[in-house]
Amino acid sequence: MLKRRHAVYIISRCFASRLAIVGSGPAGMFACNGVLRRKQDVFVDVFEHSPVPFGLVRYGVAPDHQEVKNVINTFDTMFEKNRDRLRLFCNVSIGRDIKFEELLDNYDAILLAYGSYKTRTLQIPGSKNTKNVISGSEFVGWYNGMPNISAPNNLENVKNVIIVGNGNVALDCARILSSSKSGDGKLRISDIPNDRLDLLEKSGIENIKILGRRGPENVSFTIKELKEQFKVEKWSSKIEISPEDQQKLQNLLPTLERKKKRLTEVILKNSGKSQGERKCQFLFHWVPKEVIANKDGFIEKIRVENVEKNGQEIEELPCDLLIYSIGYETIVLDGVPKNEKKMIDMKDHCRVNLPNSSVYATGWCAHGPKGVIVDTQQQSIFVAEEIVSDFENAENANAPPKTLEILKSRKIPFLSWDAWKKIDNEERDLGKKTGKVREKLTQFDRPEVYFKMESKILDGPNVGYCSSSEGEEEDFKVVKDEDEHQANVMKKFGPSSNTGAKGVLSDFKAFREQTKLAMEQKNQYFLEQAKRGMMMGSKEEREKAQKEEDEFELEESELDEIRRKRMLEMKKMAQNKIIEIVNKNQYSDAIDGSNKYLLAVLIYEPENEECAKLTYLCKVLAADYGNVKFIRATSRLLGMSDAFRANGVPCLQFYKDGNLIGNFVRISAMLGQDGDVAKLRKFLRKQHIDLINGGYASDSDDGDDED
Amino acid sequence: MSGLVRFALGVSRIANRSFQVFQPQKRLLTLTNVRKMGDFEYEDPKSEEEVVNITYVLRDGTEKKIRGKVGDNVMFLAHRYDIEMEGACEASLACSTCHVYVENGFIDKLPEPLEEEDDMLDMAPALKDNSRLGCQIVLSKELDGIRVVLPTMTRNFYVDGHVPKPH
Repeated sequence: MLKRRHAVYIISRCFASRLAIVGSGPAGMFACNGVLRRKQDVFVDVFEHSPVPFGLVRYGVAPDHQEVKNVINTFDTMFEKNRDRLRLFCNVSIGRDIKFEELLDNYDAILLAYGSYKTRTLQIPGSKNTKNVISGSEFVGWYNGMPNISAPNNLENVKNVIIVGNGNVALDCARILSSSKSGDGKLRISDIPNDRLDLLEKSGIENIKILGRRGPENVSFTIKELKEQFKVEKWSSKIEISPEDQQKLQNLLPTLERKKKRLTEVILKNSGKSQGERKCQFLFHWVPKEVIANKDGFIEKIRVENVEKNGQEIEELPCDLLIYSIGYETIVLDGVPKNEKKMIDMKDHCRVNLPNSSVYATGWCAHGPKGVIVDTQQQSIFVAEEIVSDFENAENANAPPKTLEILKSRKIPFLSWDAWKKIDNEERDLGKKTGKVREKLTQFDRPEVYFKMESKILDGPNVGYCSSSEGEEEDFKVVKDEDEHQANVMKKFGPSSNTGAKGVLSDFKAFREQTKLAMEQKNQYFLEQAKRGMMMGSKEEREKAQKEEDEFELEESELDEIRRKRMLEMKKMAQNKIIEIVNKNQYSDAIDGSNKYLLAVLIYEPENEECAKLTYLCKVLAADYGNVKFIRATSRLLGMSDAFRANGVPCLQFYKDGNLIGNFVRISAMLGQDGDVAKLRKFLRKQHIDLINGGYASDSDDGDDED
Repeated sequence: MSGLVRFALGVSRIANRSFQVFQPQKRLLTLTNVRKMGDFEYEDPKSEEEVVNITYVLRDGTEKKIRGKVGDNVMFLAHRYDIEMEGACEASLACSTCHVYVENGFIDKLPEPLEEEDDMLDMAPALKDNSRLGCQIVLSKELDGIRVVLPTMTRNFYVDGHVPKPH
C-alpha cells in the first residue's frame, strides 16, 4: 500500500512542473495557493529567509490587527492539504545559502515574492550615528517580535516622539505607541511579545508628532487606520492644519472620488488642536533638516523646515525618539536583472526580463511597496494564472530538484513546515497562559525542539513533503554531529553567550543538577534538624523541626500520588494491547484496515532505552483507548536505513483510512526527558490525533486532559 | 427468523460503525477556524422553502449556479463549492479580498453596508457602484436568483514599477 503510493508519487514527480517561490509573505503564498489550485501536477518549494514563515503578515501587520492575520489560516490549510507537493524551507536565504542560478538549474519556474525589505534611510545631518533615530520598519519589526532587532534606548525616558512620514507605517507606529499608554489593555491580548509591551507601557511618552512633507490632501493613510488613531483612549489626536489648508480641503471635497473623499472627510472631521496630557499631532509641510544629539549621543531635538515658506520658517522640536518611515528600497537578487530605477527589470506585468528562463515576480519586490493585502492578493492570483498557463505550454521537468542535497551538504539549518507548526503550537500554548492569541518566540535557538528535529527527519527525497518514513534513500546523509549542526545554527543567529542553542541546553542541565542538589541538601537538612530537635533542642526548635518535617511529609504524599498513578499505569500496561508485527504483510494489512480504526505504529529498535520507554507509554495508551489499534515493529523489519535506525527511533506513526496522518520521528526527543503518559497524550492532541474517537481532531485548543 | 434478525442487527451495527468511522472524515477538513466559521454553509438546505439560488460569475466568465439556503454567507458558501473567492480576514471586516459585484438590481435589496464595510470597500481595486464584500451578504428568500461577479484583473492593472513617493 505504502509502496504503491510511493511509486505513484515518484513517477508523478518526474513529469510534474517544479516551481520555486522566494518569500513566504502574502504575495508568495497567495500566488502559491493560486498555482496549486489550478494545476495538480506541480511541485512547489517555498524559500523564506527568516526562521518562520508569512513575512509581513507576522512581522508587519500590527498586533492590534489580528483579524488581518486570520489569513494565516488560509495558508495553513494550503500547506496541510498539499503536503505531498508543497515544501517550506525557512531560514534559507536565496543568494547566500542557495544561489539564484542554482534555482534556475533546479526548477522550471521561479517566482520572486520577497518583498522590499530594505528601508530607505534618512539622509540628513546627524541622523546617522545618533541614538534613537530608527526607521519605521525597524520599530515595527521590534514590536512585532522580529529576531535580532533591539529596542529603542531608554524608552522610560522618552517623552517626545516624532514620526516622519504619512503612510500606514507611521500610523501603525503612532497607534502602538499611544495605545500601549492608553490603559485599555487591548494589546495585552494580542500577539505583541510581552517583554516589548512591558517596555512600551513603562515608556514616558506624552507627545507624538506625525510630520508630513506635503499637505493633508496627499496623505497615503488608509481610512480604517486613520480612524483608529482618533479612537485611542486617553489621547487627544488631532489633524492640526492651517485654516487655509482646511479651506482647500473643503473646496476639493466635491471633486474627489469616493476613496479620497471619505478619507478627506475623516481628516476634516478630526482637525483641530490637540489638548491634554497626551497628544498626538498630525503636522503638515514640515521636513526634517537636522538631528541634534546631546552629549551622550542621544537625539535631543530635530530641526524642521516648513516647505511652504521657502526655508523662512525653521523650528526646533524636542525629540527623544525619531521614527522615519519614508519608504523602502527593493533589493535585487544577484543574477536578477535590474532596471534604471534599481528595481527588478520586468518584461511585462509579471515576467522578469531574463531571456530563456521562466522567472516571475509579484508583490512589493516587483512593483514597489504599495497597496494593501487585497492588491497583493489580486496581483498574485493573476501571476498564478500566467505561471500555470506557461507551464501548460512548455515541456517541463526532468529530475526532481536537488534542493535538499544542496542544503544538507552546506549544512544550512532550515526549518520545514512541520517545524514551523511546532513553533506555532508552542507560541499558541505560551499565549494561552497569559490570555493572548499567541506569545511569539523571538529567539529561534531551541535546538531540542526545532533544529535538532530537522536534522533528524530522515525520509530521503520527500523530506518536507508528506512525512512518510520509508527511508528509501540510503545514501541520504544527515548532520550526525549535533554540535556541528547547532554551531551552524548559532553562526546564523549571531554571537550570544547564553541564549544560544548550547547555552539553553547547558543552562537546562545546570538547572536540573541544581535542583537535584538542592533537594538532597533539603533532605539532609530536615534529617539533621529532626535529630537535633528530638535529642537536644529547645521546645521551639523541636516544634519548628516538626513543622518542617510535616511540610516534607506533605511532599511525600505527593510522591505517594505519583506512585499510585504509576501503579495504575503498570496495571494497564500489563494488559499488553500492543501487537508485535513480525512480517511486512501484517504491517500493510494493518494500514489497509485503518478505515476501521485509528492505527498507531511504533517503530522501534531493540535494546534502546528511549524505545523501551515509549513502548511502555504506548501500552498504557492502548489500554485506555479502545478505538486505537497499537502495533509495534522493529525498524529493521520495515527496512529502515541505518541513519534512521540510529537517529529516527522511536518513531510513532498514525494511519487513518490508509493515509498517514501523523508521523513523529524520534518522538522521545519531542516529549523531553521527563515525558510521561500525560505529556504524550497532550502532544498527540496538539498534533490533532484524536485518540478518543480514533481519528483526526479538528481542534487542539481544549483545556487540560482529563485523567 | 432469528437468523434474519441477527443479520439485520449485524448490518445496522456495521452501518453504525461505518457512520462512526466516516464522521471524522469531515472533521479532517476542519483544520482551521475558517471551516468552523463556515460550517453552516456546508449544510444542505432542509427544504425547498429554504433554497436560495445564487449564481457566481468566475474570473474567466464562467457561471456557477449554486443552490444555497437562507442564512448562508456568500463568501463561505463560495468556499464550500471551491469558488476562488478569497476571505483573508475571515469575515471580520479587515480586508476586501472577497469583493464582488452584485448584479441584476439585487444590490438594492441588500441592507446598507456598515461603515466598516465601506471603509474596506474603499481599498478594493476596481470599485463600482454595485460593489460589496461577499462576506457581508447573507442569503435571504428575497435574494433568490442573485448574481455575484468576481472582479477580473486586467493586464494593465499593475503594469509598471511603482516608485514610492517621497514625503
